[in-house]
Amino acid sequence: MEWTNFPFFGILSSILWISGVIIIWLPGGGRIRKTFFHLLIITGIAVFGFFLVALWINLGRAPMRTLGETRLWYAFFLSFIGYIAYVRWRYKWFLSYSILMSLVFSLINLIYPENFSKTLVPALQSPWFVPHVIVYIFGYALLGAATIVALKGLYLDYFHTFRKSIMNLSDNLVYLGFAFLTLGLLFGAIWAKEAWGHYWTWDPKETWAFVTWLAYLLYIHYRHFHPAKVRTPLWMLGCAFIILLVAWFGVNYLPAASDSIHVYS
Amino acid sequence: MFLFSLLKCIFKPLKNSLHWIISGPIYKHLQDQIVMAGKKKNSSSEVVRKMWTHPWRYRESFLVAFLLMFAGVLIEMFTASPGISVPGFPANMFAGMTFIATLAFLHIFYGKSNFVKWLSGVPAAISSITLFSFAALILGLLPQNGESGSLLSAAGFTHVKNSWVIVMAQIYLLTSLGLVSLRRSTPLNTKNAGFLLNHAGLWIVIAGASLGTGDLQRLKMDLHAGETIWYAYDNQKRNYELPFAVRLDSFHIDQYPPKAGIFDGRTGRIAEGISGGLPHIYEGDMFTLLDYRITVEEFLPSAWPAGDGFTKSDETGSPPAARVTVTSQNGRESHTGWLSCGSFLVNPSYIILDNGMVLAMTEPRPERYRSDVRIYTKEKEPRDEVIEVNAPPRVEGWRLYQYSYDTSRGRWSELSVLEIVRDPWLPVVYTGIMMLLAGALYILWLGRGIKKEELDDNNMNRPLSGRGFED
Repeated sequence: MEWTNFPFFGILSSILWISGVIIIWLPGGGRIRKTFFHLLIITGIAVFGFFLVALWINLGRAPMRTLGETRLWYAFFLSFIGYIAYVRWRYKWFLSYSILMSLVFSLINLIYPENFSKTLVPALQSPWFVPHVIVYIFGYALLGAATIVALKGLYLDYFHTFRKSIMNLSDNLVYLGFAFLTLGLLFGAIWAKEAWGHYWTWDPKETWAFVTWLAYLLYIHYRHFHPAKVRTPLWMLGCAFIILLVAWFGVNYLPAASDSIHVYS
Repeated sequence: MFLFSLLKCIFKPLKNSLHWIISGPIYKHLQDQIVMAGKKKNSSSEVVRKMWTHPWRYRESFLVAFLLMFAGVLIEMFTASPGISVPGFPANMFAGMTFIATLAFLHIFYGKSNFVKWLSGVPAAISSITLFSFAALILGLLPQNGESGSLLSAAGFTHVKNSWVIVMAQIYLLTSLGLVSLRRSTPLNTKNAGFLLNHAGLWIVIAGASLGTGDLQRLKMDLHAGETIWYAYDNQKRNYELPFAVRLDSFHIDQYPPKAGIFDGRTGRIAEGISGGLPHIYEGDMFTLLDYRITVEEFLPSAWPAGDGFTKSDETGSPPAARVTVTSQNGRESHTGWLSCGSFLVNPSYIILDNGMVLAMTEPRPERYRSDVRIYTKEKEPRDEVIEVNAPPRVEGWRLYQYSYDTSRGRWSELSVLEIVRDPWLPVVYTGIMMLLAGALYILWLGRGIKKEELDDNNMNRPLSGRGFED
C-alpha cells in the first residue's frame, strides 16, 4: 500500500459517505433505509481505516509524520466522530458537517500529493503531534459551527423569531468543542514537557489558547446559570470565536509573538 | 512567614482601598447611578437593591475583581523588585497547605454565610475567570521582555507571569474554585464526581504549577566532546553542582536533503514568482523553477572542492554539493555547474542566471539532533543514553533535554548544550491534568445533557432539571 493507492481508497470512501449522508436527508423513513445508512457510513470509515493500517505496515512507521499524513487521520477521525455523535444525539447536520470536512481534507490530499514528503523539524516529531493537532482542529471545527449557530440566533433574535432550540444547539456544540479544546490544551502541555522542558511557559500561542479556553468557560458558566438569557451568551460566543481565531493564526502577527517558539515557517 | 507577609501585603492596601471606595465619593456616585438606572428600568414599585447588600451579584463581584487587580498594580508599584518570586520548599508547601486549610475552615464553619456563598457562587466565578482572562490577555498582547522604566512595566504588565496582578487573579480564582469544589464534594455521586474532576482538577493544576515554580530548576550544561561535566549554570551564569555527571561521546545532526532555489542576487531573497515549496535535490531528479528546467546529474551529500567542481569527502566541514544542468525553457541555452550551500570551511557555490538571478542550494534543514552521552551517578553503574529532541532521559530526578549546539560549525559541532530540568511538583500538576482529562471525557460523553427530544421547541416550556439557580 502506497500513496499512489490513495485516490482509489479515498474516492471509494467519499462515495460511500456521500451516499450515506444523502440517504439520511431523504424524506420518509423505514428500517431498510436506516440499515443502508449505517452500512454505508461504517463501510466508508472501514475502507479509509484499512488504507491507513496498510500504509502503516508498508512504511514500517506510523503514517503521522507529514502534514499530508495528519490530514488523512483528520479525515478519518472526523467521519468517525461525526458518526458516533449521530448515534448518540441524532444530529443529522452534525454528521453531514463532519463528513464534509473529511471530504475537504481528503480532496486536499488528492490534489496535493507532493505535500506527503515535506520535512518536519525535530520538535514536531513526537507521538503527541497528531493527537494534539487533531483534537484542536476538531474542537475548532465544532466551535466554528457553534459560532454559525450564534450568528443565526442573533439574526433570529433581531427579527423576533428566536427559538430556544437554537440555544441548546449552540450549548451542545460548545460543550463538545470545549471538551476537545481541553484535551488539546492538556496534550499540548504534556508534549511541551517532553519537547521544551516545561509544561507551561506562557508562550504567546499557549497564552491565547488559554484565553480561548477561558472565554468558552465563561460562556458555559453563564449559560448554566442563566438559561433564560439569550443575547449576552450569543455575543459571548462571537467574541470567544474571535479570540480563537487569534490563537489559531492571528498570534503570528502580534507584537508578543516575536519570541514565540510556536511559529513554524 | 511568607504567607503572613503575603496576606499582610494583600490585605492592607485592599482594606484601605475598600474602605475608601465604600465610604468615599466613588461609591456614593456609583450608588446614585445605580439607583437612577434602577428607577428608569423599574418605574413600578419594585424595591431597588442597594449595593453591598447580600446576596452579592455581578456588580459587587466585578468591583471586587477590579479592586484586586488595582491592589495588585499598587503592590507592584510600591515594591522594590519587579514581580514576586515564589519561595522554594518547604515554604511554598506550607503556603499551599495554609491556603487549603483556610478554604476548609471557611467551608466548614462559615459555609452558610452570605460571604462564602457568594465566593463559591457564579458571579464570583465569572468575575474571577474574567480577571484571569484579562491578565492572560495582557500577557498575550504586550511583549513580555521584562523591560523596566515604563508605566506598563511599573504596573507589572511587561512581566505578567510573575506579577502581583496575576497573583491576585489566581488567589481570587482559586478561592472561588476551591470553595465550590468543597461544597460539591458531598455527596459524592456521579454528577458531583464529574464536577470535581473539572473543578478540583483545575484547582490542583493552577495551585501546583504556581507553587511549583518555587522549586522549578532549569539549568544549562555545556558538553564538549570527551569531557565529563558535573555542574550546570542558570541564566545568571551561576554554577550548580549536580548529583550526576555527563560525558558527551558524540553529537550528530541528521539532515534532510538540501533544496534548490532561485534567488534575487541583489536582495538575497527568493525570486518573485516561485510559489509553494522549493524542490529537494535528489540525484537524477528533474524540476522546473521559473523558466528554467533543472536536472540533477550528481548529488554528493558530503563533498570537498576540487578543481572546478567537488569530490566525495568525509572531512570535517564537507558540505553537500550537486552537479546540475540548467536549461532555459525554450531549450536554447544549457549550462552545467556545481551547487553547494557551503559550510564553515567551504564557500558556497552557485550558478548565475540572467537578470541578476542566482540558482543556489539552501542550507539543509535538520531532521534530528542527537547527543550520545555516558551518565555517571554515585550509586549506580555508568550508563549510556541517547538524548534527542522529544526524548529526554531521566537522571536522579532531573530530565535532560537536547537544547543547542555550536551553530557556527553546524553538524560538525563538538559542543552540545543540554537543558536540564528538575520539577518536584510535576506529579501534583499531572494529577490535576489527569483529572481534567477525565473531566473532559465526562463532558464529551454527557455533553450538555440535553436529549434530542428536548431540542424540540414544543418541549421547551418545562424547566431543565438540576440547572442550578436563576437570578
